[in-house]
Amino acid sequence: MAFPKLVKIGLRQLIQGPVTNLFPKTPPVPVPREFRGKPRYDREKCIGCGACVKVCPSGAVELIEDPTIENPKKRKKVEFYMGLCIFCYFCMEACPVDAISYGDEWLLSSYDKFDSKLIVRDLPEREQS
Amino acid sequence: MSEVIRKGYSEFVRIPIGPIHPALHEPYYFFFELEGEEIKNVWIESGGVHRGMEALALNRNYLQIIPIAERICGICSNSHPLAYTMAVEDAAGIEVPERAQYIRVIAQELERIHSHILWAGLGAHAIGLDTAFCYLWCLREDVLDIWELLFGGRVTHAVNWIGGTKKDIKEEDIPKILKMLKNLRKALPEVVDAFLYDPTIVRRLRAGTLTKKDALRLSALGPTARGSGVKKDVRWGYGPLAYGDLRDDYGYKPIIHQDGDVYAKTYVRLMEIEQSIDIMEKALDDLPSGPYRAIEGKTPKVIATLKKVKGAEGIGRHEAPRGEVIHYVRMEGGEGPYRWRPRAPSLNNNFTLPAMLVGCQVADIPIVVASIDPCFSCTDRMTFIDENHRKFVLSYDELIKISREKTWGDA
Repeated sequence: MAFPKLVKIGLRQLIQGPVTNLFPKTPPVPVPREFRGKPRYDREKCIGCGACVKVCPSGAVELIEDPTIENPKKRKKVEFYMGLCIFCYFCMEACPVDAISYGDEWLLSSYDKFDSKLIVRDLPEREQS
Repeated sequence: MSEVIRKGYSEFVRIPIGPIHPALHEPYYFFFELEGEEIKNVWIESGGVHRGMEALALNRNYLQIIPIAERICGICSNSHPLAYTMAVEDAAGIEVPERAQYIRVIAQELERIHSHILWAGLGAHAIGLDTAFCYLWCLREDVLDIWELLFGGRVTHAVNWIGGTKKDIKEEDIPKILKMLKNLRKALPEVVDAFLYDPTIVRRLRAGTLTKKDALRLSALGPTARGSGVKKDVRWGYGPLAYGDLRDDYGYKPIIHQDGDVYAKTYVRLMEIEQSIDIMEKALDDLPSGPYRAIEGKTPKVIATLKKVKGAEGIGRHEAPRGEVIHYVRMEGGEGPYRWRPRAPSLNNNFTLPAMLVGCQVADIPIVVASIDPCFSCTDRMTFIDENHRKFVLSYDELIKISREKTWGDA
């Protein structure tokens, strides 16, 4: 008879309490080092070559012209639309100057697809300042 | 089948289920004829969820197809891109480094462990055993944490890369994987014992027999075939990647059971979890050093290498948790393939359902359908429509006729 075994599991779980994290009440579980979250994009490093635009499977990267930059040859930059992103990080594999790196931000739900937090224009710390 | 349904009078009670039904997770059509509680006839029809993945892929380059292949199936999300990359490597003649082969084996076995635990939970849920369901899915969570640690994602893993893997396994992560495997090995036997020896559960699992003859006739794959005593496992037969080495070194064999019913399939899957844990430990032990990508450099270089290949075709075969996955790629120059054709194992396994369901009782339907681990959305690759946009089905003879006409003309 093996039935008492399942009863044993059930009783043990009853004493242990829930295994899951009650997220909105408690802080979320930390993510590992190389978690594929919202990518970190360094606008100053970017040379505007468009390799990431070419390899993005979902068309989430767009090549733009930045009018605030004085040198017209260095105006080409990219923007990431998180509403379309599938978090494959092929853009990071494509970047010749390593301007894209792993980001750990994952709380990205929004009612608006073009919400400001869903468009990556620069490193978050630089964007705030 | 539509003639049968339209026929009107029948001596049996007729129940259509699907394509959209609360009991089904995915769109599929079942039509049962019952006599009392006993199922007399079953018809099934696919084609409810055609997603046009091949057409989507043909507008993209070789690398962009990897994430698409990953999203064919949510649970075999490593097997499909792996088979695709193997097909491209086969066509382009790229030799994969040994370390990459071992990493792929580790990733694949991790997927098998998670998929089989998930199946055991769903099987328990189908027979109303929610204690085991919750407990097993709790164990699966540890496996997903390891996915997250190694490759950065829980469900879409992004392991594969043409000519190797996307990421390397770091030395400092290996103890964590071994610890997870040790915990799993300690926690699993309790549930496995309950599944295999508990009289109540065993009685529910003794249904839906697929004979060896039927399994061979319908070319069943994976645990569905192995549960019927057919020794069919791509890993140990064909020996792709590092599986050939592991088989020769440690003497792994396909796990089979002769009974052919749901119990046999459960046995095969539960034993395969243990085998996979063993393979992972051995593979982590033997993990060779060296490069993990055949083509050094960023994406433009990979695409440029593949662009040169012309008039080549390749096949990637791999054993997914549900059975053999085959991807075919034809390369005719250009950035993307000329043709990409995936075949999911559920396509074969779904057609063993009528053979299994006839003679069962109505209450056995959920567990018998769940026993092949069906993945209805993965199988739908094409739909024929006429000029009025109505769906139609071609029979085997008609397909042969069309094929001959194309070869010989109208003669």
